[in-house]
Amino acid sequence: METKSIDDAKAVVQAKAEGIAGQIGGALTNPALNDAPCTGKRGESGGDEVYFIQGGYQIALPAAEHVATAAKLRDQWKAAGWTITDDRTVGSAAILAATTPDEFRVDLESTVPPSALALLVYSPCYGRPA
Amino acid sequence: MSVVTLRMLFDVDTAAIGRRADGWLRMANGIDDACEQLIRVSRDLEHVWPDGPAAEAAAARSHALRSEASNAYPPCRRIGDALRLHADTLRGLQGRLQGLAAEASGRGFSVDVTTGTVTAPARMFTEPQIVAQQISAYVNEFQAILAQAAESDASTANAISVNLPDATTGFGTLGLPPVTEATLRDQQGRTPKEVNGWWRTLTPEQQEQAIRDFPELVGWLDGVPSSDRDTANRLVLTTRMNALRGEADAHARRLADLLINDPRNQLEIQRETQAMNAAQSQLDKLAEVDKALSGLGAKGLLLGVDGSGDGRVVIAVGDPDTARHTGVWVPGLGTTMAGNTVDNVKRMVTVNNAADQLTLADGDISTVYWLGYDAPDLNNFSVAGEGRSEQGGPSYLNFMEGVRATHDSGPSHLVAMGHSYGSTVVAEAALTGRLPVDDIMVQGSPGMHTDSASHLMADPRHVWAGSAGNDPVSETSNVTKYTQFVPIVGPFIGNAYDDGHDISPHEPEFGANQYTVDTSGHTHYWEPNSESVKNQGRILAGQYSRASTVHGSPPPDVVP
Repeated sequence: METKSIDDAKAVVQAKAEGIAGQIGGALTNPALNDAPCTGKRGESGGDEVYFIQGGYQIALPAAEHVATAAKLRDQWKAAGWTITDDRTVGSAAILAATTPDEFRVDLESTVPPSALALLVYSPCYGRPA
Repeated sequence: MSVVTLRMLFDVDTAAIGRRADGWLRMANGIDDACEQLIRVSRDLEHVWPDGPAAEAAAARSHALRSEASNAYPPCRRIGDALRLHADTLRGLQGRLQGLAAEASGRGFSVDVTTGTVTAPARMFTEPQIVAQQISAYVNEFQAILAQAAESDASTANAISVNLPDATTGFGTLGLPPVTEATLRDQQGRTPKEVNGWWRTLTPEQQEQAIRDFPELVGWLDGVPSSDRDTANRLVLTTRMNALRGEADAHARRLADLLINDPRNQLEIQRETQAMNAAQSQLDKLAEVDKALSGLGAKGLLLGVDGSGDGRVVIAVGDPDTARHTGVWVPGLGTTMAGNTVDNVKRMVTVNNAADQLTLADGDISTVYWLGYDAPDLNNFSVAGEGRSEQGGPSYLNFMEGVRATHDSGPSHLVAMGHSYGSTVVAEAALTGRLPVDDIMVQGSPGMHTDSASHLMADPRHVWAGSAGNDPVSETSNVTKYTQFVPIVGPFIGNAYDDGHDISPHEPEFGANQYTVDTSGHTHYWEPNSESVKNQGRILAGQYSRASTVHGSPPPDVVP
């Protein structure tokens, strides 16, 4: 497991989010970056030493562009080697999720009302530096 | 007062009246907030400046100012409420009037809304008696509508005039009598809606006094607004923790003294040790609540705290009185204040974030951790029976009625949520037919004391159940599959479990929607970025169509 300070890990998540915002052609708003302990498959906590970062954002985008934008991103992400884990259109709302080769997880979903896309970026687990 | 005419009722701008109502209610809330601030900053004046004529004059002026400002609040709110009711009444009457006029026109009559007359063209007079009866029926209905509009107009005008300040004395500087313990205890037997109505008649000064003098009673009183309950319960928490610290320290000092000066007095040493440990144990329980609240910052509201027994605690993430979407979650088996408060509040934060991410408005999601009942213990068979949920159901129902009663104006989407045995508490409340919620959403449920979702909600499409494939608790409906091979007692155990709570709600024959869960076991339904959490957030935000399901038929989405 990679060791990284929380600030460095947040910077990595922020950079990943900015990359996606760049693909969409919008700006990140309402950022919320938080760290949380990683848990194992049986729910065992990694304690304070093992953590991940969750970055939440919104990207303003007219509702009419959501589905097409998600389709464009899906193709770009696939081409980059990302694994698509959810890809749905519900009415005019778009839902897209993927995992990256470097073990980030990314969620994109239309907001309510649909004037933006909600973006969530989850980092892999990191160990705190000693 | 002018006579109300059909034309006036046709043309009245009910939205404008509604805006005026909102203005008065905003002003009432502003006065309430300002009064609370004034009371807090001036309360100690008499203690820090107690003597002398100037001090007495300042105290008297301060008291009069607090009373005058506080006395302005109830009339302001009453005018706002009266205008709100008037707007709603006129909107309903206007709709009836328009419908009736359209119906009459559709049948060939002419309606003159200026004169209030209904006429028929000559071609309709082939049967003049019938036409006359029809005209008379329409006129009578119009007059009935006008009479209701006039009554509403008169009562609203009266409410405004009697609540305006006196030209010479204003709202007066005499404080109203303090709220007594007996009055507060009387409220415990009333519905949350009635309690809310009573609380709103109090001046801010009276509310502040009730909170200060009886925080334990106000803190658990369903129907009191969340912000006031929070103030009361934080006072309870701080006071109790300080008292327990004092007790623990006193016993520790006495113990140290005994060990040094009277080490052979084992009886007293044992007594002091037990007393010190008991105080520390109580303190540890409340410290868990304090820690959970600290983690929430301004988003946290303490809506109930009681350290006795295993402890009861209610913590909101986001204000349910102002949120557009509120979920109130009941935990299950083995939950205690000391052992689970921080982790369970984190679950509420996770679900809150999942829903909040989908919505644009700030503060429009509230998730409430409700441990208002004695959850079954891990060390006995209380989990297999209905006793704990039958005890918890009425308290939960009352709390939910309180959430409805205290919600500010505007639409509110309320979701009952429960995990494990907590789902049976939700079920007991829902089976009364009075649980005022829009959706029920459970995870890892052993059963909900019925075999059909339609017994929980009139529209079973609003019942949602999630179950991890390897959750041993929500699989209790099939537990006999596993226990039948246990010699002698196996079938008995299986039947006891199955009969205890009925079929698990995620089973297709129950008739609820089963939302997709991708987590493992009984306690991982809130793993961040899991489909389980995302679906809980979507349902809480009323975006049912986005929730991925195993089976079921989701209802139409809640309109933003």
